[in-house]
Amino acid sequence: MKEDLFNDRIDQFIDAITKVARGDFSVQIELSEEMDHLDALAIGINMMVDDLRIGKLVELENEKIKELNIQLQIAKEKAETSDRLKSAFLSNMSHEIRTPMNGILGFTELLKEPLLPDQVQQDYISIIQKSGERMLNILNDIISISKVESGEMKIKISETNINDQIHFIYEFFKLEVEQKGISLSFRNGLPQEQAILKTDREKVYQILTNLVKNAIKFTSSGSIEFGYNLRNINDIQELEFYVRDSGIGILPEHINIIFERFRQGSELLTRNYEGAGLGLSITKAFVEMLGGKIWVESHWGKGSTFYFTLPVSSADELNVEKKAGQTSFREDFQVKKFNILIAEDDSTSEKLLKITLEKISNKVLSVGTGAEAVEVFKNNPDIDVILMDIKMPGMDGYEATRQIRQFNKDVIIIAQTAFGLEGDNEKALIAGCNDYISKPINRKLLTTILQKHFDQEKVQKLQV
Amino acid sequence: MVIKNISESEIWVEANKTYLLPGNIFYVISEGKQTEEMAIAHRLVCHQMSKLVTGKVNYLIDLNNCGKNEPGARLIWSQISDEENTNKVALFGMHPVARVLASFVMGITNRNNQRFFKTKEEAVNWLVS
Repeated sequence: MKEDLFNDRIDQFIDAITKVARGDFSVQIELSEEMDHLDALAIGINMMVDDLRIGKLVELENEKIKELNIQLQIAKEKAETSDRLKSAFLSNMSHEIRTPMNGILGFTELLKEPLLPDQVQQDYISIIQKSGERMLNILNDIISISKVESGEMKIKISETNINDQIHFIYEFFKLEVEQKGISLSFRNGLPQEQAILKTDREKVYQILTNLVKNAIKFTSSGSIEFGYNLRNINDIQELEFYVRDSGIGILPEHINIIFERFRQGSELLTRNYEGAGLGLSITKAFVEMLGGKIWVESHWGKGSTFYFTLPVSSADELNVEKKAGQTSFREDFQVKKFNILIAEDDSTSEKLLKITLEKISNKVLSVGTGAEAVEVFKNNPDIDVILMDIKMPGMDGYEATRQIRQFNKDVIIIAQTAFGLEGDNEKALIAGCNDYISKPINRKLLTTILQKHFDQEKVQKLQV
Repeated sequence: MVIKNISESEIWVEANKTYLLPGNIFYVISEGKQTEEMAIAHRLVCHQMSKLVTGKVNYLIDLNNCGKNEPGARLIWSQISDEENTNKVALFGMHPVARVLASFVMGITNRNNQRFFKTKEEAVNWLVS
């Protein structure tokens, strides 16, 4: 009996030790009332198991702390990199803005010289114009990336003919590319009537433009080809676009970073090629917003091919082309001479508009406030078109439009929007405007908009 | 945590009793399981009692009815032993459990001022020697 009791107690010890060996540190051996040697052994084992349990907890905590330290280190490095890139960005931005500004101010000053030969004048003017366009591109890129970062960038889905977009881009860049001695070609992956895609037309245009522009920038000889193919992968259709160039290529170690903000593959490259390093990051953001992906294959010194995909939800999406909706500038369009009211508080913008509209206007009136616009229009009901600036002192363009619409629903009101912010254009339409145009105003685009809103029978040929 | 101030020289912490004896001896009778919280309370009690005496103090700790010591409790008692104001620490108990308990506490102190005895008399003799 005594032996049985003893053996039972020993079994408890064995059981406990076995559990501890398996990592169970919750085990405790029961004590008897005897307080004998076995109890002494039991209490000792119990306290040792407590120590092992605490040790294990400490070990786990240390692991967590180690992991946290690694994450903190990574975050610190990221913050330092971000800080460095931001400094590089600011420095680059300063350069990118000051450089064209230098061109504009410098050559404007030179234009003041009396008796400049015509050709020299034209050269200076061309430089000023190019510098202005370069600055505008930089500003547009900065606004785009800010909108993407802040989540303000929205998608507007409509039907677009991809072949038309490809062709437009080809025509747009053809001259510039040929002047560099490079050949430009394109390839449509689908017949015209099947090339309709439901997507954000503007973003697709920007994506392709960015990629082709990049190809031109980094190619000094050879060829550039762009286009698309229809792919069917696991019953999912997508259009795979490509832009292939025979330019400088990209180093393998830079391929993963070129889509990052402010990078052009290396900060050294940034200094050799103009640009803020935002184009590809904007392009990537747009592609991903549209549900696609973007990647590049490249060989240093030989050229690169940029690919991006756009999803097609079903074969039915690729429909016969619909005729309505698309407006493009036609060289042979005819515009009548309009009576125009300009509502613009900035004198320089007003002067520019007047000169721009000279060839297509009978009469041009101008006012500096929204209230004046309403009053002048009331007294001049023969006004055909109102170019309404939005931001004016006192009554703004939206309110002026609303008031005019209370007594006239027919006059064409075109809002001049300067902010480029999401919603500005929609606000203008809701207020009662027929259309909108962003500053700086492009004459071709303005006449295209006018063409859209006026009956073709009323127009006559425009000397551009 | 129940602390009872019976008198200036007798304070109870839960079931444990602490007495201030002549010769600057803090006599602690441990009863049952010793938690970290109890050990912390004991430390406060001993600091309070040490204001009643001049010079270093000695500890006489009865482990005859003591139960398992939590790891935190053992650490606190070892810290008490290591304090500059502590002279000697004598632990005693008749049975093997007491010896094991004492070993666990003595094993983590930095000073060599602790001994274990079987009887109270042996322990007191050493403290006053």
